[in-house]
Amino acid sequence: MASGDQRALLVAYLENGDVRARDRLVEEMMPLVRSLANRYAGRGEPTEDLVQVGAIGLVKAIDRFELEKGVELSTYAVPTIVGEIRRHFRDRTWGVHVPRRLKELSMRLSRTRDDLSAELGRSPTVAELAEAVGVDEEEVIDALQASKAYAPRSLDQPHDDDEPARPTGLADEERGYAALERGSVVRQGLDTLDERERRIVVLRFLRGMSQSEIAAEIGISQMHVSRLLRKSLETMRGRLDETEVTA
Amino acid sequence: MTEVVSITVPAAPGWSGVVELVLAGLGARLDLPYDRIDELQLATTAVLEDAVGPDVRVDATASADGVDIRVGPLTAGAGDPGRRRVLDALADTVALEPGRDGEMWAVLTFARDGAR
Repeated sequence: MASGDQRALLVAYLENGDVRARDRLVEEMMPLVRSLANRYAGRGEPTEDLVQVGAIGLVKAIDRFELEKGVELSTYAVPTIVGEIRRHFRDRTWGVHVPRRLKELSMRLSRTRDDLSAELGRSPTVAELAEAVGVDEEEVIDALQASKAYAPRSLDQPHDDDEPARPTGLADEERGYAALERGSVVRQGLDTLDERERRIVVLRFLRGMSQSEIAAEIGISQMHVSRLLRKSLETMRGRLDETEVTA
Repeated sequence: MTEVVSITVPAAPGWSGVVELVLAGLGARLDLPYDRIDELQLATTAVLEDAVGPDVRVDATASADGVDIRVGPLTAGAGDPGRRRVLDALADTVALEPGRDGEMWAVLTFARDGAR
């Protein structure tokens, strides 16, 4: 669709309330939604569900679009569509049933933990987290524990060859990696991890960096570092168990 | 004042979460930074995987200086150098000591402010 046609439809909908114009925009932009949904296909959720969720994101983007900003609708809509798909995964990828209240609290805590760490220059205590989000300490513990049942891995690594790979700095860690005892459990287990997990394990266990330092270096939250460390150790342990069975 | 919290759970997957909750509660009472609690949990659950079963016991001794964790009985795999390296990075001190019946126990200490 030519950008002039798109703008005319946006004006018709946003300024004159022409719902048919919005429907036409949605229809015209569904290939974009499908393309974005396909990046997250094959991760346990039906692609058609992802397309539907992405379409909701598209409608939200159209509703919130500001004509005076002068950007293309597609540019504006992509983050909203992807955000909606990611939110869908976030709600669906908890390993155990976790009440919505705890999921939401855990997400707030993830942000608060990072903010307070930056503000305090150290990791916050449970009491500080509780005060910051206005709940009691037991709720903080419940929510942080619940967050460990969350499996976020797929969301940061969409299946899209066009998306630039995150710099992993793996080569920089090779020396540390090689420093591990030959044939040790950790050495064997590292081979089972993806590059980012391997890097996090090396930074934590060989370089002695704290979770917050790793989070800053890699550009993810401390909570995500914590989850990836746990998952990596579980994966490495699984490898050991297989080795023991086949030995 | 020293406080001791002991918990015995089946040496089976799924029970580590119960131990983690207890440790989180203890860490919160001691006002430990959350990173410290997280690593206390991570190290302890890593050791739990070496439990020889059918049950595994965790004794957590809290003091003004921090927390000592004693876990056992464990398999000989707990002494693997690579795994030891992981525990060394998480805890301030790590020791393996024999129990009364010759089984192995791990003793981890976590200073309030951490080794780093």
